Amino acid sequence: MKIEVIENVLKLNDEVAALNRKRLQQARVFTIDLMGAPGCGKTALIEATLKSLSDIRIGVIVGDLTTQRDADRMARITDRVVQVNTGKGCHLEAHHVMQAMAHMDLDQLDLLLIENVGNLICPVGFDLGQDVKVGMFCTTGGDDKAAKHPYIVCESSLLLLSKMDLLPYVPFDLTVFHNDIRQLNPLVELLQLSAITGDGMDSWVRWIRSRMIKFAAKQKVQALT
Amino acid sequence: MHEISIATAIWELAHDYLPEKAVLRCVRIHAGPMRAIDPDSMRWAWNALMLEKGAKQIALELTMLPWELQCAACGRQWTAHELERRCTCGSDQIRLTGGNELQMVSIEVDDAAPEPDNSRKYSGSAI
Repeated sequence: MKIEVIENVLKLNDEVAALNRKRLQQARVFTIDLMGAPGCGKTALIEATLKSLSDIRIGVIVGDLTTQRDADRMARITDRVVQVNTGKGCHLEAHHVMQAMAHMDLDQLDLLLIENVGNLICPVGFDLGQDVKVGMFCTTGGDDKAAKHPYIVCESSLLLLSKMDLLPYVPFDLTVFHNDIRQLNPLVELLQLSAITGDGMDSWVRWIRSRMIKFAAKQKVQALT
Repeated sequence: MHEISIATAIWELAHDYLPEKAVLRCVRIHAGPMRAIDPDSMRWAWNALMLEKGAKQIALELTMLPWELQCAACGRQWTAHELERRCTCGSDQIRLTGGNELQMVSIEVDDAAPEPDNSRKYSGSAI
């Protein structure tokens, strides 16, 4: 006997993500899911962001298959960090974030940064309950990575190109990279930066602040209606 | 290897729709190319999950959907399995309009297996 279904395969993950989103909105925490390949500079960017936004109470959930190394790095800057080890899992799922959130005092946070497991493919399809997904590429990864990974380009609210300080030393054609992105997602914003030299960090920090203001305004409107 | 997570999600969702006492025989999935699902990896992940669950072989029918494209210059709409970069009109202003699907479309089930007849379990002469 055939039973028609027509249902999103990741429905159960999405249901948990909706619970996360509701909890985060109640606590007024703006949440960013940062996705990118291993070694593209996600941890370095979060370290630099923690330093640049020292007036904002920031929590960090960091996902890796194994080790506490990223959490140890960030613990030098903040004590609001929770490491998630996914074991064999190549991406974070909503239940990982739910478990990590249980270890955080969300009412004492303004911003939650989720560093996803290093991977340009798998994290994209899994809603975690974030407000925005940010996709990260790096100059050392090559200018073809956007074209080869359309899903992250299409699903991100913002794309970052990191390690701009290394651009003179690697064969990376910015025009090719930009054109590939424009073709896949004409509306996505793109920022170029270096977490090490600090170049471009002001734009990134401004972007976060402006999105947090929009988030707070939206919450006020929702509270009134 | 997100195929393992997806296989697990398929398993859970299929069992949400499985009538009581019915036996799952087949699950049909439609996946767009944006989801970057490798059919061989998906089959491997599904079979590994069957082993882990101790389940009898349940067929996974995976249909790979094409990209849905539209030319911003001439408005032509078409589908393609490769992500084409240029329209027949010459424009490179190609927009993606579909390809993000990951849906369970149907499951195939057998009615419940007959209950084992235990009425004569203790009958007959004891050995």
